Amino acid sequence: MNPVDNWITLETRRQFFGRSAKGIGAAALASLVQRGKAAEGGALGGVHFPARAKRVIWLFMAGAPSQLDLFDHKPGMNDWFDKDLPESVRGGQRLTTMTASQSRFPIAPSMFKFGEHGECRKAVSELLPKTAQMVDDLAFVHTVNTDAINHDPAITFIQTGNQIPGKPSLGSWLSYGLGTMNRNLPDFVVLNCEPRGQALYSRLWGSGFLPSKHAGVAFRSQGDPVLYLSNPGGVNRDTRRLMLDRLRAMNERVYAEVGDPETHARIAQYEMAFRMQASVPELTDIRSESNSVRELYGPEVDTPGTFANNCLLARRMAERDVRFVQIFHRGWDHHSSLPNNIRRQTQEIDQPAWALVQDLKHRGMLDDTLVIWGGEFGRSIYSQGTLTKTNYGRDHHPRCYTIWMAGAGTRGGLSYGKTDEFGYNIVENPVHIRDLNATILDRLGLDHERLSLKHQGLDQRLTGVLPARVVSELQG
Amino acid sequence: MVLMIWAVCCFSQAAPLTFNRDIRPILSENCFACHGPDSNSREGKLRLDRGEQAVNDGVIVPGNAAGSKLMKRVASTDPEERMPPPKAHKTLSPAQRETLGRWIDEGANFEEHWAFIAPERPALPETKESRAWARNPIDHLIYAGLKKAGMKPNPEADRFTLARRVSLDAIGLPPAPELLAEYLGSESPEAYSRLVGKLLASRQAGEHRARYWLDAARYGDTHGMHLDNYREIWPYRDWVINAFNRNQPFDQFVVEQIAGDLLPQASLEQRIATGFSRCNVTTAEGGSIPEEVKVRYMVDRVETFGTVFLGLTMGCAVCHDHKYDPITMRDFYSLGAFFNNTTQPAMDGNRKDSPPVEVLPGEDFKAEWKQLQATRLGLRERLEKRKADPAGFWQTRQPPFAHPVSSEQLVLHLPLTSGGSVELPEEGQWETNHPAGHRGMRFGKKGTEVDLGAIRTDEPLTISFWIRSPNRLMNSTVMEHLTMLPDPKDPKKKRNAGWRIVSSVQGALTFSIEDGLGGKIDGLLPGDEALTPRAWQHVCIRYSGGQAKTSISILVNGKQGTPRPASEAFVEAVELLASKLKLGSNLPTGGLSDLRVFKRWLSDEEANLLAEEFFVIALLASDKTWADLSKAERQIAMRYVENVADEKRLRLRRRLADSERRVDFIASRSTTTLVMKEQPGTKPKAWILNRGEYDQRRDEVGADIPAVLPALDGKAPRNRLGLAQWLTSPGHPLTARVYVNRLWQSVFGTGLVKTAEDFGVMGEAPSHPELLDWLAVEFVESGWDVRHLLRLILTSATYRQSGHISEEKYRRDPENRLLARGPRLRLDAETLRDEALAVSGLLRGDVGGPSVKPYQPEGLWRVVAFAGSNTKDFKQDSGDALYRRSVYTFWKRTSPPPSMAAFDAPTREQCTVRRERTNTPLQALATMNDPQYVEAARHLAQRTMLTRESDRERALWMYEAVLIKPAAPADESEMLGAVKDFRKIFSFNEGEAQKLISIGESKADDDLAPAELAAWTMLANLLLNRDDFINKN
Repeated sequence: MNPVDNWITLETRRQFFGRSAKGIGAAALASLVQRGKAAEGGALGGVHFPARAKRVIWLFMAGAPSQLDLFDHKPGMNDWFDKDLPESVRGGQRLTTMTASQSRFPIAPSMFKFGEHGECRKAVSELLPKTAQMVDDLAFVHTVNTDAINHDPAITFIQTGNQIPGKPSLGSWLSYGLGTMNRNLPDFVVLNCEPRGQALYSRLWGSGFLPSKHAGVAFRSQGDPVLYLSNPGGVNRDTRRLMLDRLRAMNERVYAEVGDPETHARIAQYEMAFRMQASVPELTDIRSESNSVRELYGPEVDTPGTFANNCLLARRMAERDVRFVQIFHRGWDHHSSLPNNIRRQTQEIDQPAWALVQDLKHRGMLDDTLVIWGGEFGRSIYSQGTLTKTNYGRDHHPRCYTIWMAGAGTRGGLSYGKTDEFGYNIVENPVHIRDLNATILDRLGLDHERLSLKHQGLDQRLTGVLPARVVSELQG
Repeated sequence: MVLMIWAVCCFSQAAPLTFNRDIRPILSENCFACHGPDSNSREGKLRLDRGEQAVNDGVIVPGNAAGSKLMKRVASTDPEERMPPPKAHKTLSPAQRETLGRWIDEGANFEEHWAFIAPERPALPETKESRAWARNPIDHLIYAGLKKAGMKPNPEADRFTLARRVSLDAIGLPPAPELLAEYLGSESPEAYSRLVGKLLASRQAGEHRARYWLDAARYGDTHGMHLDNYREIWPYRDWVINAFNRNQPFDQFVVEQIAGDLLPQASLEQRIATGFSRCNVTTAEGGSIPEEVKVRYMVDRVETFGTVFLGLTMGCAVCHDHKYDPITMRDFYSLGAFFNNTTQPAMDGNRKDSPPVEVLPGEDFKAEWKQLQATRLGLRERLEKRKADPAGFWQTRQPPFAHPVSSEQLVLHLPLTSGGSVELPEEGQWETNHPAGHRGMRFGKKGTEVDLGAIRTDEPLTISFWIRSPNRLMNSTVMEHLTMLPDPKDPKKKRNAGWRIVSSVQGALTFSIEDGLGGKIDGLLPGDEALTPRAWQHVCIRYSGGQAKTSISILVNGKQGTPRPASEAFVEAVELLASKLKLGSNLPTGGLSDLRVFKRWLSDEEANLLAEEFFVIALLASDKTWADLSKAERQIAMRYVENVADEKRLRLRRRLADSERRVDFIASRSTTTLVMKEQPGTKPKAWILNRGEYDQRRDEVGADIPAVLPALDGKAPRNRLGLAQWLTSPGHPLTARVYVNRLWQSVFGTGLVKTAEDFGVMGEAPSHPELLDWLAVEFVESGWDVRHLLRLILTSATYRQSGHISEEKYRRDPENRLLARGPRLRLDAETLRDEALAVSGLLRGDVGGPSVKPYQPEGLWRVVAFAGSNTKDFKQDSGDALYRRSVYTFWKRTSPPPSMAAFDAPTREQCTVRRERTNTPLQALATMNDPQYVEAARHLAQRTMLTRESDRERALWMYEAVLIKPAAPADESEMLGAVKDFRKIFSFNEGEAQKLISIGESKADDDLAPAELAAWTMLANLLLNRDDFINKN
């Protein structure tokens, strides 16, 4: 073993044992399941129980898509056009201050046609023809609900389990707990689509109080995909190699003189950086994909920063064992002119999302890749602003909304949870954000109560202190 | 590892066990969640953090472990019986069980948690051996720990290493060459302490020390949420730097930040200091519920206060009594009450100057501003003193009552009802449905025109009218008073001069003024606050004459709208020569009524009276007596008396309104900074919130201190000042300990209490409790002298040890908690960048000023930002601003400076008192490729080539400049070999060389051959990536 590899092994062991004394109780350790080729450097040193998912791709629809116009079909609402939402349904629940002062809450039935699809006969809106073709592979959850009513706190909540900024995100918990499965790429990658509508925040993929190496790396569609990846002008790969060889020799002498193991760690990280300088451009260069694959993802696949391009990149990352990829597609905050806006949005995402699932399936990767589609909350049945048969807006609705999952043992064709005839309240099987996060961790072989780190005197967890439930019904 | 140190430094089989050292850690880890301070989750009514009840119930029988129920339960193998129960996922080890048993046998003595007991100065464990090594008391205490562990300190580091280390710790920069030469050249035994003294007294020391404090204060240059717009509070940052530079006693430093505004005759500086409590992230997201947002601000302030000053994690007590520390929900909200009595609105309006603020006028306006403030204060006091007599007025009132406000400076009044002076335009019609049954004018397609003379941009203007918005809200011109002027820059073009009011889609309302010279200012109210279709609403638009965007305010139905973000927009002082006012030229289905134009600034109350016009006039004209009036009617009568009828008051108000123009003018052209201000007339209070939910109020609580800590002096004011004075009273158990621990941490990498943010039960116990107490007492008795304490640390033998890590020392103490060696740590993000700038000769700038934007890759802000954010587009600075110390780098919280974030700098979204120190490939990429570092390398190469001639001399000079020590022979030949390699590459490819040396804004020296400069640039790039450059050694 060369000193660098030696260091990595040492470091892994050191982290494992170092943390075990503080972070993870002995009981948790005893029940860890060791699996074949384990990942390196995870604080847990293994999983709590056999994992169904090896990796996750989360298609995040930022701004909150309208579940009522896509998946949660409420045909009865056609008779309610422009009638007031009964007070008994609203139950005096709080509203955003954008509509709280509205004198009425007139119901806006979806103007879009829903058809029944697949063997499961799932109702899907005409806006998503491709998604409709794969409903037998998807599990829909209609009763996701959240605590927050505005974008910033809500998106922070779903990403980090807390509305207040500063907690680690799901992806960084995974990186921390499970370690890395590859030597050349980050564990957690974020792909941002073109800016539009509501803001994003780097805290959404931040590592909070976990070491920053667990933070998501936001790949960029402009300039270097990873910050400072390219050598400066005039410096090619050979020149960099020359410099690194000399640097390594010098640093070895520093080590010999001082004896700090961190020096070896640094040498290893410079080598990793050098490898990334090759592996990342190779990863983001989609020219090597066949025409048929590219066509699968649709015409925008070659344009960096589009959802289609990012979906294909996500598949390539999954192939290279990046643990967690999250694509942020923005512009779903349709307070007004919802029909026009949602047409554009769905057109952008429908085919690529479908293609991603097909592509993974075709490669046999859907078996151990969990794909999730959804936003930070839902939208209201009552209209905000102008209401006509073909034009309306919808306010935020945190009480219930729809997401879908696919792969890694997901029970295809399932529609889980029920909302009332207004799509306003949950009738059965609520799934809180905490439950959703607990369920995702469960797929990865992690017990959400045991993936914890002591910080500020508390065993901090993604799912927080309130009880959370793994929704095992979603699994086939 | 922790356990090992534990065993080494704390255990000694003979000595009796103590609760705090040996027992509490076991209980808090395993038992307190259900048997601790939180009364709600307490199981079986058993509490184990206090003794009485456990003993009374026989759970613990002092002196008899075997007879104690506790021991039976923890030893049980029955899952039903066993403690902790399986669902807790906790297990006691046999050793822990044995310890518990021994402690019970020894008498089961409980103790208050160590951190809640005031520190006392311990006796120094001086021995002959320790005296031989020690340079000051710190060393005796460290030596005692080493001796217990059977370890020896390292020898002193060499002078080069020491000079670089102490300089990085004292000022965050490598030593200046002169200072270094002076130190190296002196044989005096005092040379080192002279060096330390000079470093600590330099202005860079304050910049460095402030950086740590700004992490704790969560300082940032944007609001942090939603739009994440610019926020102006850098004067607070400068205040912190200056406070450290004048070595302000720490107690005053704390008092001024918490309560500077409440000090008697508070100075401007003291008010600026209160920016500490304004650094929290704020929002203006549409739809937010103000009460919820306010609660969040309070929670953040309490958590920050707890972490920064008390070293306690208060956050848990938002929703329930703390599980481990004796902090109840009542404690939390009582502490919150101190910060609750503020004039700050929930929504920050996306403005840089969300109130309350201090205005800091430039030299030109300082005197006038002071005068204005004094005048306005005087006027307000006189107004306050003058009692109105509404009943008296009511009896003697005389009709007619034509106007609800004084008609002074009323230059236009159009009722716009049938029979008035304005004819109905073509296709127009009279509108009904007016609130008071009056009629308004609907304009049809063309609208109409009336005469209105010129106005000046440096004079006030108020426009009041009723408007019925069109059926469909769209881009409509409500009215305009414009003329066209030739563009001064391009006479062929014309520009608008004048003002107009437009409504846009969704009912947003905009009032704008253009000066005809290219200057334009506008005020906007968004749709949800402005116009509702098909309804009559009263609009009052005010312009103070301050020639700035902030001079405009819009009220709808007498209510002030949310102020919009103030961009830097101004107009010149000109006369706007329009002669016609066009009404409703693009308002086909909308209508107007009762239009008034005043050439003065109407007060809020007057705007209110106008909105209630019909009611006011009808009330005045009625024959009701004072006794007949309802409460609401009396209020209106009162408002009329105060603002219209009482002429003396009216004159005072008029003078106040007139000063508005200059106030706006100066304020809009000045730096502002966010401060705290107490709401007058109300007492600090809060509500205990069930589960922390803003809408589930339980008991109301006044401001108070957590019960477990020393009580507030009965005579102390129950406000932030009382809180601050309590915090800095000499016997306080936490304040001094918590800060000296952070000073220690900043130097040695780890605090004596490793969990610098948590001195509570779940925090780690101090590695050297006596040393912590000694330092805390020394700190207070020295007059809270920060510089004194730093000097003690930096001149100790402990600090001066070499950083060499032997295998044995690493194995026994990898985290260097016992300090058998000097600190060797990766530098913080800011220090690393500043170091590169310094050694390359690029570092520029004085203390203070607005934050700067050095290099950062394109698109980082845009990719996350909301479309309407004013920090969406990153505009890089140029010139000296690129090369200033990192403490001045602009901090956008939703996208912090990337090369800093890579090195574990926090986002500053919440208080951070301890940074991580990671080692990642992204860091390697940054220091190799970030233009900042590449430019620094080239600059360094340039200096080297200009300073020395031969390859060897150059290599040696560069090495010494970067690493502050002479090169060893092996490094010398490595460098010479490297230069030869690089030279070979670039001499065959001048184009590539040119590319490399053109990176960065500064220009490469033309006299130097590009290939040669490129080769030396690569060598510099290599040295700037050496492990011992990135580390403090």
